Amino acid sequence: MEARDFEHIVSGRFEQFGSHAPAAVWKGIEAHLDSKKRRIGIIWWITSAFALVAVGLTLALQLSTSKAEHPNTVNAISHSSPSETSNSENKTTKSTSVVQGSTSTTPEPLNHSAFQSTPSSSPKASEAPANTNVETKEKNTSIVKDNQSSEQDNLTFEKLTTLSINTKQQIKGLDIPLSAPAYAVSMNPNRYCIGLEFGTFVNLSKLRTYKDYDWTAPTFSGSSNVTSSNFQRQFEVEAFFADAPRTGLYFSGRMLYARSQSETIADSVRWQSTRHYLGLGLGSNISIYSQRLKVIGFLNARWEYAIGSLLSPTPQPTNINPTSELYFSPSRFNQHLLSAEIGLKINYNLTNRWNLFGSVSYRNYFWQQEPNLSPVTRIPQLVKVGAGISWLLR
Amino acid sequence: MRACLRKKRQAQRELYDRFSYQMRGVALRYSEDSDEANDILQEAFITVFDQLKNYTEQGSLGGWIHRITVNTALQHYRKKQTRNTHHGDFGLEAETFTDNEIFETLSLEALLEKIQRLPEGFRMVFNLRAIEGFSHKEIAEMLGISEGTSKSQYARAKKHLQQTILAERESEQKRIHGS
Repeated sequence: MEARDFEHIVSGRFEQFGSHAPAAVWKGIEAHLDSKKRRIGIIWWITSAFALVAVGLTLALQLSTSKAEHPNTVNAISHSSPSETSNSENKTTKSTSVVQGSTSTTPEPLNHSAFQSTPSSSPKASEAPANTNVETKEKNTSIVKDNQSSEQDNLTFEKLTTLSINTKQQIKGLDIPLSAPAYAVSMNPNRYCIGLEFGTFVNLSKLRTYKDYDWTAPTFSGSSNVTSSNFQRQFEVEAFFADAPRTGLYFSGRMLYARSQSETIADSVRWQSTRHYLGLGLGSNISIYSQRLKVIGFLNARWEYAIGSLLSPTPQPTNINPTSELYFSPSRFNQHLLSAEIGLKINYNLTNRWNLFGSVSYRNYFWQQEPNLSPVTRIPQLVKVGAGISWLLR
Repeated sequence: MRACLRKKRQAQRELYDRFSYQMRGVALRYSEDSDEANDILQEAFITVFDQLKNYTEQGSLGGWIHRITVNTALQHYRKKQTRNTHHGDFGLEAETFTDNEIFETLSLEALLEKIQRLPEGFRMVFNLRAIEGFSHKEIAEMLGISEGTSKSQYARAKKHLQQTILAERESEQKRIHGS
Protein backbone atom coordinates (compact mmCIF):
# COMPACT_ATOMS: atom_id res chain seq x y z
CA MET A 1 0.00 0.00 0.00
CA GLU A 2 2.79 2.30 1.05
CA ALA A 3 4.80 1.39 -2.03
CA ARG A 4 1.81 2.11 -4.24
CA ASP A 5 1.39 5.49 -2.59
CA PHE A 6 5.03 6.26 -3.19
CA GLU A 7 4.78 5.38 -6.88
CA HIS A 8 1.56 7.33 -7.18
CA ILE A 9 3.19 10.40 -5.63
CA VAL A 10 6.32 10.23 -7.77
CA SER A 11 4.56 9.53 -11.05
CA GLY A 12 2.02 12.25 -10.28
CA ARG A 13 4.75 14.76 -9.71
CA PHE A 14 6.42 14.00 -13.05
CA GLU A 15 3.16 13.82 -14.99
CA GLN A 16 3.35 17.33 -16.42
CA PHE A 17 7.09 17.64 -16.16
CA GLY A 18 8.94 18.89 -19.20
CA SER A 19 11.83 21.00 -20.30
CA HIS A 20 12.55 23.16 -23.32
CA ALA A 21 15.02 21.52 -25.65
CA PRO A 22 17.94 23.59 -26.87
CA ALA A 23 17.96 24.61 -30.55
CA ALA A 24 20.88 22.27 -31.21
CA VAL A 25 18.59 19.23 -30.85
CA TRP A 26 16.34 20.26 -33.74
CA LYS A 27 19.39 21.20 -35.82
CA GLY A 28 20.75 17.71 -35.26
CA ILE A 29 17.43 16.11 -36.26
CA GLU A 30 17.18 18.32 -39.34
CA ALA A 31 20.72 17.48 -40.41
CA HIS A 32 19.95 13.77 -40.11
CA LEU A 33 16.70 14.07 -42.07
CA ASP A 34 18.45 16.08 -44.80
CA SER A 35 21.24 13.54 -45.14
CA LYS A 36 18.69 10.72 -45.35
CA LYS A 37 16.72 12.56 -48.02
CA ARG A 38 19.95 13.12 -49.94
CA ARG A 39 20.85 9.43 -49.62
CA ILE A 40 17.45 8.34 -50.97
CA GLY A 41 17.73 10.86 -53.80
CA ILE A 42 21.22 9.67 -54.65
CA ILE A 43 20.10 6.03 -54.76
CA TRP A 44 17.31 6.81 -57.24
CA TRP A 45 19.45 9.03 -59.38
CA ILE A 46 22.11 6.32 -59.47
CA THR A 47 19.45 3.79 -60.51
CA SER A 48 18.22 6.01 -63.31
CA ALA A 49 21.76 6.88 -64.36
CA PHE A 50 22.51 3.17 -64.46
CA ALA A 51 19.48 2.60 -66.69
CA LEU A 52 20.59 5.34 -69.07
CA VAL A 53 24.18 4.09 -69.10
CA ALA A 54 22.91 0.58 -69.84
CA VAL A 55 20.91 1.91 -72.79
CA GLY A 56 23.93 3.89 -74.00
CA LEU A 57 26.24 0.90 -73.64
CA THR A 58 23.82 -1.27 -75.58
CA LEU A 59 23.74 1.24 -78.40
CA ALA A 60 27.53 1.59 -78.38
CA LEU A 61 28.01 -2.18 -78.36
CA GLN A 62 25.61 -2.53 -81.25
CA LEU A 63 27.42 0.05 -83.31
CA SER A 64 30.80 -1.53 -82.70
CA THR A 65 29.42 -5.02 -83.39
CA SER A 66 27.83 -3.94 -86.64
CA LYS A 67 31.05 -2.25 -87.76
CA ALA A 68 32.88 -5.48 -87.16
CA GLU A 69 30.28 -7.12 -89.39
CA HIS A 70 31.51 -5.21 -92.48
CA PRO A 71 33.80 -8.09 -93.60
CA ASN A 72 30.77 -10.36 -93.54
CA THR A 73 28.92 -8.03 -95.86
CA VAL A 74 31.87 -8.06 -98.25
CA ASN A 75 32.17 -11.80 -97.84
CA ALA A 76 28.81 -12.10 -99.55
CA ILE A 77 30.18 -10.12 -102.47
CA SER A 78 33.24 -12.36 -102.72
CA HIS A 79 31.04 -15.41 -103.10
CA SER A 80 29.14 -13.84 -105.96
CA SER A 81 28.96 -15.28 -109.47
CA PRO A 82 32.01 -15.35 -111.75
CA SER A 83 30.52 -12.61 -113.92
CA GLU A 84 30.60 -10.31 -110.94
CA THR A 85 34.15 -11.26 -110.07
CA SER A 86 35.67 -8.62 -112.25
CA ASN A 87 33.58 -5.93 -110.54
CA SER A 88 34.50 -7.12 -107.11
CA GLU A 89 38.08 -7.31 -108.31
CA ASN A 90 37.85 -3.69 -109.24
CA LYS A 91 36.63 -2.87 -105.76
CA THR A 92 39.46 -4.84 -104.25
CA THR A 93 41.99 -2.97 -106.25
CA LYS A 94 40.44 0.31 -105.18
CA SER A 95 40.55 -0.66 -101.57
CA THR A 96 44.16 -1.69 -101.92
CA SER A 97 44.89 1.68 -103.36
CA VAL A 98 43.39 3.34 -100.26
CA VAL A 99 45.66 1.26 -98.07
CA GLN A 100 48.58 2.26 -100.19
CA GLY A 101 47.37 5.82 -100.06
CA SER A 102 49.64 6.53 -97.15
CA THR A 103 52.70 6.19 -99.40
CA SER A 104 51.16 7.18 -102.76
CA THR A 105 49.48 10.54 -103.16
CA THR A 106 47.51 9.65 -106.31
CA PRO A 107 46.54 6.05 -106.03
CA GLU A 108 43.36 6.02 -108.11
CA PRO A 109 44.72 7.01 -111.55
CA LEU A 110 47.57 4.58 -110.97
CA ASN A 111 45.20 1.65 -110.54
CA HIS A 112 42.95 2.68 -113.40
CA SER A 113 45.93 2.87 -115.67
CA ALA A 114 46.82 -0.61 -114.59
CA PHE A 115 43.60 -1.88 -116.08
CA GLN A 116 43.94 0.18 -119.22
CA SER A 117 47.72 -0.46 -119.60
CA THR A 118 48.20 1.83 -122.60
CA PRO A 119 51.45 1.05 -124.47
CA SER A 120 51.92 4.72 -125.39
CA SER A 121 52.97 5.58 -121.87
CA SER A 122 55.90 7.90 -121.49
CA PRO A 123 59.29 6.31 -120.77
CA LYS A 124 59.31 7.76 -117.25
CA ALA A 125 55.95 6.34 -116.50
CA SER A 126 56.96 2.93 -117.81
CA GLU A 127 59.55 2.46 -115.06
CA ALA A 128 58.90 0.87 -111.72
CA PRO A 129 55.20 1.82 -111.41
CA ALA A 130 54.57 0.52 -114.88
CA ASN A 131 56.12 -2.80 -113.99
CA THR A 132 53.83 -3.00 -111.00
CA ASN A 133 50.86 -2.22 -113.20
CA VAL A 134 51.85 -4.89 -115.65
CA GLU A 135 52.19 -7.38 -112.82
CA THR A 136 48.79 -6.43 -111.40
CA LYS A 137 47.22 -6.66 -114.83
CA GLU A 138 48.74 -10.05 -115.42
CA LYS A 139 47.53 -11.23 -112.07
CA ASN A 140 43.98 -9.99 -112.71
CA THR A 141 43.90 -11.45 -116.20
CA SER A 142 45.10 -14.81 -114.97
CA ILE A 143 42.36 -14.85 -112.33
CA VAL A 144 39.63 -14.18 -114.87
CA LYS A 145 41.05 -16.67 -117.43
CA ASP A 146 42.04 -19.53 -115.20
CA ASN A 147 38.99 -19.33 -112.94
CA GLN A 148 40.45 -22.02 -110.73
CA SER A 149 38.92 -22.46 -107.31
CA SER A 150 42.18 -22.46 -105.36
CA GLU A 151 43.19 -19.14 -106.77
CA GLN A 152 39.75 -17.73 -106.14
CA ASP A 153 40.03 -18.78 -102.55
CA ASN A 154 43.38 -17.09 -102.31
CA LEU A 155 41.95 -14.00 -103.86
CA THR A 156 38.95 -14.01 -101.51
CA PHE A 157 41.28 -14.27 -98.56
CA GLU A 158 43.37 -11.44 -99.95
CA LYS A 159 40.29 -9.29 -100.51
CA LEU A 160 38.94 -9.94 -97.07
CA THR A 161 42.26 -9.16 -95.42
CA THR A 162 42.59 -5.97 -97.39
CA LEU A 163 39.06 -4.84 -96.64
CA SER A 164 39.36 -5.70 -92.99
CA ILE A 165 42.43 -3.54 -92.74
CA ASN A 166 40.60 -0.86 -94.65
CA THR A 167 37.56 -0.95 -92.33
CA LYS A 168 39.75 -0.91 -89.25
CA GLN A 169 41.56 2.12 -90.55
CA GLN A 170 38.29 3.88 -91.18
CA ILE A 171 37.01 3.15 -87.69
CA LYS A 172 40.27 3.99 -86.01
CA GLY A 173 40.76 7.26 -87.83
CA LEU A 174 37.03 7.99 -88.00
CA ASP A 175 37.54 8.79 -91.66
CA ILE A 176 33.87 8.19 -92.35
CA PRO A 177 31.37 9.50 -89.83
CA LEU A 178 28.18 7.52 -89.32
CA SER A 179 26.69 8.50 -92.63
CA ALA A 180 23.28 7.25 -93.73
CA PRO A 181 24.52 4.26 -95.82
CA ALA A 182 26.96 3.21 -93.09
CA TYR A 183 24.18 3.42 -90.53
CA ALA A 184 21.92 1.33 -92.71
CA VAL A 185 24.57 -1.33 -92.95
CA SER A 186 25.48 -1.27 -89.26
CA MET A 187 21.85 -1.47 -88.10
CA ASN A 188 20.82 -4.46 -90.09
CA PRO A 189 17.16 -3.67 -90.87
CA ASN A 190 16.28 -7.35 -90.93
CA ARG A 191 16.51 -7.43 -87.19
CA TYR A 192 14.13 -4.57 -86.35
CA CYS A 193 10.69 -5.12 -84.99
CA ILE A 194 7.72 -2.98 -84.03
CA GLY A 195 5.09 -3.94 -81.51
CA LEU A 196 2.27 -3.05 -79.21
CA GLU A 197 2.09 -3.89 -75.52
CA PHE A 198 -0.85 -3.65 -73.17
CA GLY A 199 -0.22 -3.59 -69.44
CA THR A 200 -2.08 -3.36 -66.17
CA PHE A 201 -0.70 -2.56 -62.75
CA VAL A 202 -0.68 -3.42 -59.07
CA ASN A 203 0.31 -0.54 -56.81
CA LEU A 204 2.65 -1.97 -54.16
CA SER A 205 2.45 1.23 -52.13
CA LYS A 206 -1.30 0.68 -51.87
CA LEU A 207 -0.82 -2.79 -50.41
CA ARG A 208 0.99 -1.49 -47.38
CA THR A 209 -0.82 -1.60 -44.09
CA TYR A 210 -0.41 1.97 -42.96
CA LYS A 211 -2.63 4.75 -44.13
CA ASP A 212 -1.10 6.22 -47.19
CA TYR A 213 -1.23 9.70 -48.57
CA ASP A 214 -0.40 9.15 -52.14
CA TRP A 215 1.29 11.40 -54.65
CA THR A 216 -1.69 12.14 -56.84
CA ALA A 217 -4.10 12.87 -54.04
CA PRO A 218 -5.70 16.27 -53.99
CA THR A 219 -4.22 18.79 -51.64
CA PHE A 220 -6.56 19.84 -48.86
CA SER A 221 -6.37 23.01 -46.91
CA GLY A 222 -7.93 23.54 -43.52
CA SER A 223 -8.50 20.64 -41.17
CA SER A 224 -9.78 17.99 -43.57
CA ASN A 225 -9.33 14.50 -42.27
CA VAL A 226 -7.99 12.26 -45.01
CA THR A 227 -8.70 8.65 -44.13
CA SER A 228 -7.35 7.02 -47.27
CA SER A 229 -5.86 7.92 -50.57
CA ASN A 230 -4.97 5.65 -53.43
CA PHE A 231 -3.49 5.85 -56.86
CA GLN A 232 -4.20 3.21 -59.46
CA ARG A 233 -2.74 3.06 -62.93
CA GLN A 234 -5.51 1.27 -64.75
CA PHE A 235 -3.82 0.48 -68.03
CA GLU A 236 -1.02 1.47 -70.30
CA VAL A 237 -0.54 0.96 -74.02
CA GLU A 238 2.93 1.16 -75.46
CA ALA A 239 4.07 1.16 -79.04
CA PHE A 240 7.67 0.15 -79.35
CA PHE A 241 10.42 -0.11 -81.86
CA ALA A 242 13.31 -2.43 -81.14
CA ASP A 243 16.24 -4.17 -82.55
CA ALA A 244 15.44 -7.86 -82.37
CA PRO A 245 18.44 -10.11 -82.37
CA ARG A 246 17.94 -13.73 -81.45
CA THR A 247 20.40 -13.33 -78.64
CA GLY A 248 22.46 -10.54 -77.14
CA LEU A 249 22.11 -6.93 -76.11
CA TYR A 250 19.82 -4.55 -77.92
CA PHE A 251 17.90 -1.34 -77.34
CA SER A 252 14.29 -0.31 -77.70
CA GLY A 253 12.42 2.95 -77.95
CA ARG A 254 8.82 3.30 -76.83
CA MET A 255 5.85 5.66 -76.72
CA LEU A 256 3.10 5.22 -74.20
CA TYR A 257 -0.37 6.29 -73.29
CA ALA A 258 -1.65 5.49 -69.80
CA ARG A 259 -4.76 6.17 -67.79
CA SER A 260 -4.78 6.45 -64.00
CA GLN A 261 -7.36 6.96 -61.34
CA SER A 262 -6.85 8.46 -57.92
CA GLU A 263 -9.30 8.25 -55.09
CA THR A 264 -9.18 10.04 -51.78
CA ILE A 265 -11.59 9.81 -48.90
CA ALA A 266 -11.59 12.97 -46.82
CA ASP A 267 -14.19 14.00 -44.30
CA SER A 268 -16.20 10.93 -45.38
CA VAL A 269 -16.35 12.27 -48.94
CA ARG A 270 -14.94 10.35 -51.86
CA TRP A 271 -12.92 12.44 -54.28
CA GLN A 272 -12.01 10.92 -57.60
CA SER A 273 -9.95 12.11 -60.49
CA THR A 274 -8.73 10.63 -63.73
CA ARG A 275 -5.63 11.65 -65.57
CA HIS A 276 -3.94 10.71 -68.78
CA TYR A 277 -0.28 10.32 -69.48
CA LEU A 278 1.84 10.44 -72.60
CA GLY A 279 5.42 9.31 -72.43
CA LEU A 280 8.61 8.26 -74.11
CA GLY A 281 11.04 5.60 -73.02
CA LEU A 282 14.33 3.97 -73.81
CA GLY A 283 15.18 0.42 -72.91
CA SER A 284 18.19 -1.79 -72.68
CA ASN A 285 17.48 -5.47 -73.29
CA ILE A 286 19.30 -8.76 -73.25
CA SER A 287 17.80 -11.83 -74.88
CA ILE A 288 18.47 -15.56 -74.91
CA TYR A 289 16.62 -17.84 -77.31
CA SER A 290 15.76 -21.49 -77.55
CA GLN A 291 13.71 -22.78 -80.48
CA ARG A 292 10.69 -20.50 -80.79
CA LEU A 293 10.99 -19.10 -77.28
CA LYS A 294 13.05 -16.10 -76.35
CA VAL A 295 13.59 -14.83 -72.79
CA ILE A 296 14.35 -11.15 -72.54
CA GLY A 297 15.54 -9.25 -69.49
CA PHE A 298 15.02 -5.52 -69.74
CA LEU A 299 15.79 -2.27 -67.99
CA ASN A 300 13.74 0.74 -69.09
CA ALA A 301 13.84 4.42 -68.30
CA ARG A 302 10.73 6.51 -68.94
CA TRP A 303 9.67 10.11 -69.02
CA GLU A 304 5.96 10.81 -68.74
CA TYR A 305 3.81 13.88 -68.87
CA ALA A 306 0.42 13.95 -67.17
CA ILE A 307 -2.21 15.82 -69.17
CA GLY A 308 -5.22 15.54 -66.90
CA SER A 309 -6.00 19.20 -67.17
CA LEU A 310 -6.55 18.85 -70.89
CA LEU A 311 -8.82 15.83 -70.89
CA SER A 312 -10.49 16.27 -67.51
CA PRO A 313 -10.30 19.97 -66.68
CA THR A 314 -11.28 19.64 -63.04
CA PRO A 315 -11.50 16.60 -60.81
CA GLN A 316 -15.08 15.64 -60.34
CA PRO A 317 -15.86 14.60 -56.79
CA THR A 318 -18.79 12.24 -56.42
CA ASN A 319 -20.08 14.29 -53.54
CA ILE A 320 -19.27 17.75 -52.31
CA ASN A 321 -18.74 18.57 -48.69
CA PRO A 322 -18.98 22.34 -48.36
CA THR A 323 -17.02 22.29 -45.12
CA SER A 324 -13.84 20.92 -46.59
CA GLU A 325 -11.78 23.01 -48.89
CA LEU A 326 -10.19 21.22 -51.76
CA TYR A 327 -7.77 22.32 -54.35
CA PHE A 328 -5.64 20.56 -56.89
CA SER A 329 -2.34 22.09 -57.61
CA PRO A 330 -2.14 22.67 -61.38
CA SER A 331 1.18 20.85 -61.46
CA ARG A 332 -0.56 17.71 -60.30
CA PHE A 333 -2.03 17.54 -63.75
CA ASN A 334 0.66 19.11 -65.89
CA GLN A 335 3.56 17.36 -64.31
CA HIS A 336 6.61 15.54 -65.55
CA LEU A 337 7.50 12.12 -64.14
CA LEU A 338 10.57 9.94 -64.38
CA SER A 339 10.62 6.22 -63.75
CA ALA A 340 12.91 3.22 -63.95
CA GLU A 341 11.64 -0.28 -64.66
CA ILE A 342 13.20 -3.72 -64.54
CA GLY A 343 11.53 -6.87 -65.80
CA LEU A 344 11.39 -10.10 -67.71
CA LYS A 345 9.66 -10.83 -71.01
CA ILE A 346 8.94 -14.15 -72.69
CA ASN A 347 8.57 -14.00 -76.45
CA TYR A 348 7.02 -16.74 -78.59
CA ASN A 349 7.76 -16.80 -82.30
CA LEU A 350 4.44 -17.53 -84.03
CA THR A 351 5.56 -17.20 -87.64
CA ASN A 352 8.54 -15.75 -89.43
CA ARG A 353 7.28 -12.30 -88.63
CA TRP A 354 4.76 -12.42 -85.82
CA ASN A 355 5.64 -12.80 -82.14
CA LEU A 356 3.53 -12.98 -79.01
CA PHE A 357 4.93 -12.01 -75.64
CA GLY A 358 4.10 -11.61 -71.96
CA SER A 359 6.02 -9.60 -69.39
CA VAL A 360 6.28 -8.91 -65.67
CA SER A 361 8.16 -5.89 -64.38
CA TYR A 362 8.72 -3.66 -61.38
CA ARG A 363 8.48 0.07 -61.95
CA ASN A 364 9.49 2.79 -59.55
CA TYR A 365 8.76 6.45 -60.08
CA PHE A 366 11.71 8.23 -58.58
CA TRP A 367 10.86 11.81 -59.45
CA GLN A 368 7.86 13.93 -60.17
CA GLN A 369 7.55 17.61 -60.70
CA GLU A 370 6.06 19.41 -57.73
CA PRO A 371 4.93 23.03 -57.50
CA ASN A 372 8.22 24.00 -55.89
CA LEU A 373 10.13 21.50 -58.05
CA SER A 374 11.14 19.50 -55.00
CA PRO A 375 10.76 15.75 -55.34
CA VAL A 376 8.26 14.00 -53.07
CA THR A 377 9.08 10.74 -51.41
CA ARG A 378 5.66 9.09 -51.31
CA ILE A 379 5.49 7.93 -54.89
CA PRO A 380 4.21 4.58 -56.04
CA GLN A 381 6.03 1.42 -56.81
CA LEU A 382 4.13 -0.55 -59.40
CA VAL A 383 4.20 -4.10 -60.66
CA LYS A 384 3.21 -4.32 -64.29
CA VAL A 385 1.81 -7.37 -66.01
CA GLY A 386 1.86 -6.96 -69.76
CA ALA A 387 1.15 -8.80 -72.96
CA GLY A 388 1.60 -7.86 -76.58
CA ILE A 389 2.41 -8.63 -80.14
CA SER A 390 5.36 -7.69 -82.33
CA TRP A 391 6.13 -7.81 -86.01
CA LEU A 392 9.56 -8.26 -87.56
CA LEU A 393 10.51 -5.78 -90.25
CA ARG A 394 12.34 -7.04 -93.31
CA MET B 1 0.35 13.94 -39.65
CA ARG B 2 -0.29 13.71 -43.38
CA ALA B 3 2.28 16.35 -44.12
CA CYS B 4 4.74 14.63 -41.78
CA LEU B 5 4.24 11.40 -43.70
CA ARG B 6 5.11 13.31 -46.82
CA LYS B 7 8.30 14.44 -45.04
CA LYS B 8 7.33 18.09 -45.13
CA ARG B 9 9.85 19.86 -42.96
CA GLN B 10 7.45 22.47 -41.60
CA ALA B 11 5.06 19.75 -40.41
CA GLN B 12 7.91 17.81 -38.82
CA ARG B 13 8.97 20.94 -36.99
CA GLU B 14 5.42 21.47 -35.73
CA LEU B 15 5.27 17.91 -34.42
CA TYR B 16 8.61 18.39 -32.72
CA ASP B 17 7.52 21.68 -31.14
CA ARG B 18 4.37 20.04 -29.86
CA PHE B 19 6.04 17.11 -28.10
CA SER B 20 9.69 18.01 -27.50
CA TYR B 21 9.01 19.82 -24.19
CA GLN B 22 7.34 16.79 -22.63
CA MET B 23 9.80 14.28 -24.14
CA ARG B 24 12.83 16.19 -22.94
CA GLY B 25 11.40 15.80 -19.44
CA VAL B 26 11.29 12.04 -19.98
CA ALA B 27 14.81 12.00 -21.42
CA LEU B 28 16.13 14.01 -18.46
CA ARG B 29 14.77 11.46 -15.99
CA TYR B 30 16.62 8.62 -17.68
CA SER B 31 19.88 10.42 -18.26
CA GLU B 32 22.80 11.51 -16.17
CA ASP B 33 22.90 15.07 -17.46
CA SER B 34 21.30 17.39 -19.96
CA ASP B 35 23.78 16.51 -22.73
CA GLU B 36 22.80 12.86 -22.58
CA ALA B 37 19.13 13.89 -22.44
CA ASN B 38 19.59 15.93 -25.62
CA ASP B 39 21.16 12.95 -27.36
CA ILE B 40 18.24 10.72 -26.33
CA LEU B 41 15.71 13.32 -27.44
CA GLN B 42 17.37 13.75 -30.82
CA GLU B 43 17.56 10.02 -31.49
CA ALA B 44 13.98 9.56 -30.32
CA PHE B 45 12.60 12.15 -32.74
CA ILE B 46 14.65 10.74 -35.63
CA THR B 47 13.02 7.38 -34.87
CA VAL B 48 9.60 9.05 -34.65
CA PHE B 49 9.95 10.59 -38.12
CA ASP B 50 11.31 7.34 -39.54
CA GLN B 51 8.56 5.19 -38.04
CA LEU B 52 5.60 7.54 -38.31
CA LYS B 53 4.18 5.46 -41.14
CA ASN B 54 3.82 2.60 -38.68
CA TYR B 55 1.78 4.64 -36.21
CA THR B 56 -1.68 3.07 -36.25
CA GLU B 57 -3.64 5.71 -34.33
CA GLN B 58 -4.87 3.05 -31.90
CA GLY B 59 -3.31 5.00 -29.05
CA SER B 60 -2.51 8.66 -28.64
CA LEU B 61 0.37 10.08 -30.64
CA GLY B 62 1.87 11.51 -27.45
CA GLY B 63 1.84 8.06 -25.82
CA TRP B 64 3.48 6.53 -28.90
CA ILE B 65 6.25 9.15 -28.92
CA HIS B 66 6.66 8.68 -25.16
CA ARG B 67 7.27 4.93 -25.66
CA ILE B 68 9.81 5.66 -28.36
CA THR B 69 11.64 8.08 -26.07
CA VAL B 70 11.75 5.53 -23.22
CA ASN B 71 12.96 2.82 -25.62
CA THR B 72 15.67 5.14 -26.91
CA ALA B 73 16.79 5.81 -23.33
CA LEU B 74 16.93 2.06 -22.70
CA GLN B 75 19.02 1.55 -25.83
CA HIS B 76 21.43 4.19 -24.53
CA TYR B 77 21.61 2.36 -21.22
CA ARG B 78 22.26 -1.00 -22.93
CA LYS B 79 25.05 0.49 -25.01
CA LYS B 80 26.67 1.86 -21.87
CA GLN B 81 26.27 -1.47 -20.14
CA THR B 82 28.08 -3.34 -22.92
CA ARG B 83 30.86 -0.78 -22.80
CA ASN B 84 31.20 -0.90 -19.02
CA THR B 85 30.50 -4.65 -18.75
CA HIS B 86 29.00 -3.95 -15.32
CA HIS B 87 25.60 -5.49 -14.91
CA GLY B 88 25.04 -4.62 -11.26
CA ASP B 89 23.50 -7.89 -10.17
CA PHE B 90 22.36 -7.38 -6.65
CA GLY B 91 20.86 -9.76 -4.14
CA LEU B 92 17.35 -9.33 -2.85
CA GLU B 93 16.86 -6.61 -0.35
CA ALA B 94 13.97 -6.24 1.98
CA GLU B 95 11.53 -3.43 1.25
CA THR B 96 12.61 -0.48 3.34
CA PHE B 97 10.36 2.10 4.91
CA THR B 98 9.93 5.10 2.63
CA ASP B 99 8.95 8.49 3.90
CA ASN B 100 6.54 9.63 1.22
CA GLU B 101 6.31 13.11 2.67
CA ILE B 102 9.83 14.06 1.66
CA PHE B 103 9.07 13.13 -1.95
CA GLU B 104 5.97 15.28 -1.91
CA THR B 105 7.54 18.39 -0.52
CA LEU B 106 10.83 18.37 -2.39
CA SER B 107 10.91 20.63 -5.43
CA LEU B 108 10.60 18.87 -8.79
CA GLU B 109 13.98 20.16 -10.02
CA ALA B 110 15.67 18.91 -6.85
CA LEU B 111 13.98 15.53 -7.15
CA LEU B 112 15.07 15.24 -10.77
CA GLU B 113 18.62 16.08 -9.81
CA LYS B 114 18.60 13.31 -7.18
CA ILE B 115 17.24 10.82 -9.70
CA GLN B 116 19.92 11.81 -12.19
CA ARG B 117 22.58 11.23 -9.55
CA LEU B 118 21.41 7.67 -8.94
CA PRO B 119 23.66 4.91 -10.26
CA GLU B 120 22.72 4.01 -13.85
CA GLY B 121 20.95 0.70 -13.13
CA PHE B 122 19.06 2.13 -10.15
CA ARG B 123 17.91 5.08 -12.23
CA MET B 124 16.57 2.88 -15.00
CA VAL B 125 14.64 0.59 -12.67
CA PHE B 126 13.35 3.51 -10.60
CA ASN B 127 12.02 5.34 -13.67
CA LEU B 128 10.46 2.25 -15.19
CA ARG B 129 8.81 1.18 -11.97
CA ALA B 130 7.93 4.32 -10.02
CA ILE B 131 7.07 6.62 -12.95
CA GLU B 132 6.24 4.46 -15.96
CA GLY B 133 4.47 1.84 -13.83
CA PHE B 134 5.99 -1.31 -15.37
CA SER B 135 6.00 -4.54 -13.36
CA HIS B 136 9.29 -6.02 -12.20
CA LYS B 137 8.83 -8.86 -14.65
CA GLU B 138 8.51 -6.42 -17.54
CA ILE B 139 11.49 -4.40 -16.31
CA ALA B 140 13.56 -7.58 -16.04
CA GLU B 141 12.80 -8.37 -19.67
CA MET B 142 13.51 -4.87 -20.83
CA LEU B 143 16.86 -4.59 -19.08
CA GLY B 144 17.92 -8.20 -19.42
CA ILE B 145 18.17 -8.78 -15.69
CA SER B 146 16.39 -11.09 -13.28
CA GLU B 147 13.14 -10.08 -11.64
CA GLY B 148 14.88 -10.30 -8.25
CA THR B 149 17.56 -7.89 -9.37
CA SER B 150 14.91 -5.46 -10.57
CA LYS B 151 13.17 -5.58 -7.19
CA SER B 152 16.43 -5.21 -5.34
CA GLN B 153 17.63 -2.30 -7.46
CA TYR B 154 14.30 -0.56 -7.06
CA ALA B 155 14.43 -0.89 -3.28
CA ARG B 156 18.02 0.32 -3.21
CA ALA B 157 17.17 3.24 -5.51
CA LYS B 158 14.37 4.37 -3.19
CA LYS B 159 16.61 4.00 -0.14
CA HIS B 160 19.41 5.85 -1.89
CA LEU B 161 17.10 8.71 -2.80
CA GLN B 162 15.63 8.92 0.66
CA GLN B 163 19.03 8.93 2.33
CA THR B 164 20.35 11.60 -0.01
CA ILE B 165 17.35 13.84 0.53
CA LEU B 166 17.44 13.39 4.32
CA ALA B 167 21.18 13.96 4.46
CA GLU B 168 20.82 17.19 2.47
CA ARG B 169 17.97 18.34 4.70
CA GLU B 170 20.02 17.66 7.84
CA SER B 171 23.01 19.53 6.54
CA GLU B 172 20.78 22.44 5.55
CA GLN B 173 19.17 22.52 8.98
CA LYS B 174 22.59 22.43 10.62
CA ARG B 175 23.67 25.31 8.41
CA ILE B 176 20.55 27.30 9.34
CA HIS B 177 20.89 26.58 13.09
CA GLY B 178 24.61 27.08 12.99
CA SER B 179 24.29 30.51 11.43
